[in-house]
Amino acid sequence: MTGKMTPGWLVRVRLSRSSRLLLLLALAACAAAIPSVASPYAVSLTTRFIVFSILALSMDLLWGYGGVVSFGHAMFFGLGAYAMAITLTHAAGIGGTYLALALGVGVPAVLALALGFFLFYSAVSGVYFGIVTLALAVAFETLAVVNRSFTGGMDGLYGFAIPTIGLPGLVQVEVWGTENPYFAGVIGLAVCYLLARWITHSSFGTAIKAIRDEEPRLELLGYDTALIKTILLVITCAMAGFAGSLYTTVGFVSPQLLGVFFSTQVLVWVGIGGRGTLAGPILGTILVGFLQTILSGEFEDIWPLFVGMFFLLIVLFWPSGLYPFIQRSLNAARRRLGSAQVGA
Amino acid sequence: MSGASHGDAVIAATGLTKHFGGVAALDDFSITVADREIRCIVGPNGAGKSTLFKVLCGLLKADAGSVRILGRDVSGLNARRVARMGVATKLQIPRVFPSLTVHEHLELATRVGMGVPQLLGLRRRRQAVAADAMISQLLEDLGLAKTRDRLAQELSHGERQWLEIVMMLATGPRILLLDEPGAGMATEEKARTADLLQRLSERMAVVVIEHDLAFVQLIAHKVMVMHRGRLLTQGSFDEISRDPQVGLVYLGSTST
Repeated sequence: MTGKMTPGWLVRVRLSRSSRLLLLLALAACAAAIPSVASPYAVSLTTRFIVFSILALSMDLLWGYGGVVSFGHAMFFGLGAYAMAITLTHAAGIGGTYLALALGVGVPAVLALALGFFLFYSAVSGVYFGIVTLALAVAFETLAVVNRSFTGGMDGLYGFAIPTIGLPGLVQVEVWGTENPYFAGVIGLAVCYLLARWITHSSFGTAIKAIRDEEPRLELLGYDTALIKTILLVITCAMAGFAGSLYTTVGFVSPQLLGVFFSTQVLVWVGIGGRGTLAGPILGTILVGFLQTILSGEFEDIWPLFVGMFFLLIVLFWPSGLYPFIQRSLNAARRRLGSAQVGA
Repeated sequence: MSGASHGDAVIAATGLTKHFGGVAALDDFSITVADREIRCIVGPNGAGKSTLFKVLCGLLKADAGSVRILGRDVSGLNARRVARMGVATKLQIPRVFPSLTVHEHLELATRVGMGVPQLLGLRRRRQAVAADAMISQLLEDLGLAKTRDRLAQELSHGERQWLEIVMMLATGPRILLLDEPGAGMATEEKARTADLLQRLSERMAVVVIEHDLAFVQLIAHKVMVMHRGRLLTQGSFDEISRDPQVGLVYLGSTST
């Protein structure tokens, strides 16, 4: 409507139900076809980016919708990955995998609950919350590096049992190799996306957007905003932990997964894709992932510089991100088409 | 003790004192408001009006004095608890949620006090269904029906003030505290707002802080004049506008 720049979360999708369904079907068909047309290397890369996009999706719920900036969100991803890998080191098979998954989701969730309880209920918010998460991410990365016996130190963990899902004695699927991890990632992303969509479309979603806009007003209206933020943190960190658990199908986990650098990368993916849009961060992650792969092949040391420049360009020209820009362009094109038909 | 004597008092605050540094924003101030009463509080800048509201709604703790709301001592309660007792507060600066639609504001207002499972829609309460019907009714009544799906940031200043008031009403309050509800409104909008407040006072207690005496005259009920944290005088609009003391502290330009 307005020509002014509007933040990503203000742009509403105007796709009809049927065209959205068609788009989804096409997307699903593409996702199903990828392993049979792409090289195993490309499929593995895609798997990794899909898993990362679940992490970006959870960051979008927390930051894009709830306005809570965390500089250590990857820490929960790393915790999930380590919890899964450590459990699989000691317990194999289907039972071990389910236990590992439960811990991969549960450990980050419990840490988030403690963080939310101690920080949000003492009114620590905004940049101070960001600083605490930054410090924690550094602490956890260091812990993983120095603790050789438990976490494998600098080398990380590898050689743990193959994650196996299914029903004991009936069906058994090893999530290993190229294709199975890929499909596990796609299904995981679909489930998380639907969950995120359900949350953002509920009254809880409206409440977290209100917190982002004017937290004191919502509190004055009678809402327990600290509780809502704590629950949001628990949900998003559990989702990040789930993504981390899926990551173990790559075969190894390393301390970098917990670190600050990785956390800032997540912020970049969400920012490039468009915060507060759900689909944007998924797009941003996969796009930046491939860009990064190409660039790091060509320029071994200075590739982060290019990714940084790309990010700055986006911030300068499309501050609300790529996805809202695409949406706006599509809408403008449709309007032009519509008016042309009226004129004819 | 005193609660019995103010049988139908919805607000009974006594001896409120609040210092900021060396300045007394409230100095032994007392106020009693009956149910279905409309009360105006006027006074020059810095008289302590806004501080009074913040103490009443639980945002600030008074240094001394007590606040009873609906018969209950609320001195130790935070703003959220006071709000859930049925006190809806609008502070001086109008505050709405810019990226939410008008309908979403009311959706939130009607769900105050619901647990997170209800907010997520895991457990649908009959209450929520009734709330949706009430939202449509409120929007219709207050002439905001056509702005239902617009974002708050697209509304005019006056519409935003109205939205905030409608949002407060949707919580089903028993007491309305309004700090400068007419600020930034055109004369005609102010008249409409005054009319609305009159109608609301048939159902609930309404306390209004206002700077603009012309607007106060439109409401023209009991008026309290504050000056330096104390009660200067009180009475009907005509009484206080004839009071020479009021003219002295208050710009010297009261209406005739």
